[in-house]
Amino acid sequence: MHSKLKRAAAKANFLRYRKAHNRGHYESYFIRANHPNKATAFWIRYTLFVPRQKTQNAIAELWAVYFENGTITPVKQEYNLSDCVLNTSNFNIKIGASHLRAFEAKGSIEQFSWDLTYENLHPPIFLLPLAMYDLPFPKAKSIISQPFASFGGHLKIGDQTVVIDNWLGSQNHNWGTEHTNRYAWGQVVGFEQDNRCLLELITASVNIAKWSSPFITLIVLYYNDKIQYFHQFKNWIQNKGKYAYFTWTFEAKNSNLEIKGTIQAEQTDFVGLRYYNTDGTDKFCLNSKVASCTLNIRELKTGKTRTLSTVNRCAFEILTDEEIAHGVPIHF
Amino acid sequence: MSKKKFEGKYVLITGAAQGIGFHTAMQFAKAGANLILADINKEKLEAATEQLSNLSIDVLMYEVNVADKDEVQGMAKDIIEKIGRLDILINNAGVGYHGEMEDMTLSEWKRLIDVNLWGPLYHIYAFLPLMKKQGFGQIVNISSGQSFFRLPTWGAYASVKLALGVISEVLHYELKSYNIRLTTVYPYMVNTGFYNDVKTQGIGARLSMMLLPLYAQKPERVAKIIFRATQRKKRVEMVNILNSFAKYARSIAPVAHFMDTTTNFLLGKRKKKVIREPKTSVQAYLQGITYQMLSFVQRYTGNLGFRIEEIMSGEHEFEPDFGNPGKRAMEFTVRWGPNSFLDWINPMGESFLVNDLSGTVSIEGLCQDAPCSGTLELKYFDEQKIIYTFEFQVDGVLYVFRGEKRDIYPWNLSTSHTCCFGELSRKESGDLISTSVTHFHLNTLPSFLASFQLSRSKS
Repeated sequence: MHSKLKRAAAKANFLRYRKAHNRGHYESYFIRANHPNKATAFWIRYTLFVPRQKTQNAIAELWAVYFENGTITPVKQEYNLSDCVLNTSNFNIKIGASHLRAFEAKGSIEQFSWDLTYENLHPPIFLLPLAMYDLPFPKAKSIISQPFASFGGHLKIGDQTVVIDNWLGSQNHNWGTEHTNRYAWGQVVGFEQDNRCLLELITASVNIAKWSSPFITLIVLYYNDKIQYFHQFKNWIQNKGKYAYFTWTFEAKNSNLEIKGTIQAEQTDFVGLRYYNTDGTDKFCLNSKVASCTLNIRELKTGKTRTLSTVNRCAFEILTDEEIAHGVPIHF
Repeated sequence: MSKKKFEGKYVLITGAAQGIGFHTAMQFAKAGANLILADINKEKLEAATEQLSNLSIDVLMYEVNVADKDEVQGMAKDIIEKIGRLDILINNAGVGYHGEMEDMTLSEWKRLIDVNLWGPLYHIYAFLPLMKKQGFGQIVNISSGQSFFRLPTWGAYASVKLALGVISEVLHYELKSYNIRLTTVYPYMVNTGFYNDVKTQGIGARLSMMLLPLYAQKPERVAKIIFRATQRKKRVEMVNILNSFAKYARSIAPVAHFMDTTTNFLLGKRKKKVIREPKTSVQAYLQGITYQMLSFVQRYTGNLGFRIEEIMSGEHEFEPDFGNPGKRAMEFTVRWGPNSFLDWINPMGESFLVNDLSGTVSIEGLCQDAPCSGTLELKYFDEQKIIYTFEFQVDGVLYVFRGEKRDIYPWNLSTSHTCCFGELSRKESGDLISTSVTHFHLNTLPSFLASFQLSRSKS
């Protein structure tokens, strides 16, 4: 691996939060994984939130959602920053009594608890071009810190104990001075035809001063043991991505591959979550971890085509300002 | 054009054990070509052959002195017998020489011409009959950008490389009718072991060699350019735009004169140095004062050094069988610095930018605050690295940590200078125990700077 990439990879889970963040800051580490063959998944998120110009109101949040065959159990708890241990020298986040490290996650919110370990042998995958992680634009950054994490352990939801055995997923890290204005974000770790394939993409409109930019689609695909980036500047213009409630189509091309795909889910597969934004407004995240995805790949040099799909292993999130129009009840 | 075009072809590369030659071989190996590697350095040649053999191609190696006609002909005979064909010959082997011609001995001239000019000629004449017979072939001659710069202190080297360039460019036309193509490559300065051979004189020249990594091209990059030029059967490959600049600048007399004068001033040795006896008592007095001041500086700063405390923290991961999987905390707090500042800043000395180091190391799953000691080498100029090497003991077992901050250049200091890739091994067995990445966090910068202290060694 190129040393520039290696250095960036080594800093993937670096805590970006600094106490003097006056411009607003949010930072989240989340883990997610899907059952090997059922429409069952979990998503656990550790978040720091610092409102703009109000650093004294900074809080930490713990989120957990369990998706099981159409039933969704979301929980959330807020904490004062004084209840957290934010380690800047290595990846070790403690919010209340819950913690997240590079190989384990333990914690609880009300009746929902988790005790998980995970292993990953793959280096981080960067959705944005490397240079953009150090630039002020875009205001929100995202890294798949541990892209092929294999989870073990258990969840407890009320009286129910869910044994997690070799569930494939990822550990991710997001941060920024504010949430992206509007976006659809998707991630598949392991398709049914190819367990070593990973897709992550975003179609987003960002705020530039007071205006919203056109939607830009960025994609990264791990395929045939190589990372294929569709995120260079020319891709911003060439890539196509269009989403609605609750279907998303996209296509992109680089020098090796041409890809086209669809991500979709039922309205009932989504849970609606209220995200605080650093400017004092709220955003609404429609979150599903059991969406379907079909991806058509054409290798440009050989002309070979391949279709990869998953019925319910795709993460599909839509961030919107609309609280009601989509019909998904908003929690918290 | 597909890279697979070279599949099944045989490519002979001279000077293939390291530097441009090795990286060029790697390019052809990746494109499926079978390789014939020639080099005078047996050890490195074997290592290169082993590495390239992993790429599922045929690799033959010949320990050959390119300046020895008999050895070259012997190799050619063997190749013709064993393989019966040669698609591409790359005359890459060469030696460097830097210095003024008045100081150059005739035997140095002979070596330079033997290796850099006769070497390629021996190979061309050894394989030309075969290429003519088979009705195709390509010869790639690696000349040098110095052919165009021709600057003072590089005269001998430039003249020989220019001769090779002329031979190669003219042969291109003369051999065209046999379907034999010549490609002449003019690399700009390349950061390889090549310049280790260069004998430098004068501070300017030494400094230019020391800073070479900052302005030279990397051999990997040049190898790619050679590969591409060969693939496209280019007549001439200039490699770097500065070579083109020099080529045309040479034809403008005032510009050429300015280049030569400036280079001569910077790189040439100082001559006609006349030491005069002081004539007056004032002159004698001033000379005495100067001498005393210099003695004073030497006496009182000779054992003056400094210490500074650095905290590097991050994560490590045990190798399988040596600990639980997953990234765990690691931190070392060390005080480092030179014992003699004068030695530390002397670029010609062995202690140049080498620091003693001591402190404590904590590795989750292995030790907590274990005392450690070793060295910190600031290898900015020759390897673009900072190397931490220290030892410590846990339960009677001695461990060695070696960490590197890599690819340090002026434009990436904020990232390269803060990130250390480390390996921990048992000293006795050499077993690799754990790999780590630790960081210098910028929030520790104030305490790092505040910890600076002058020190005086007792010697």
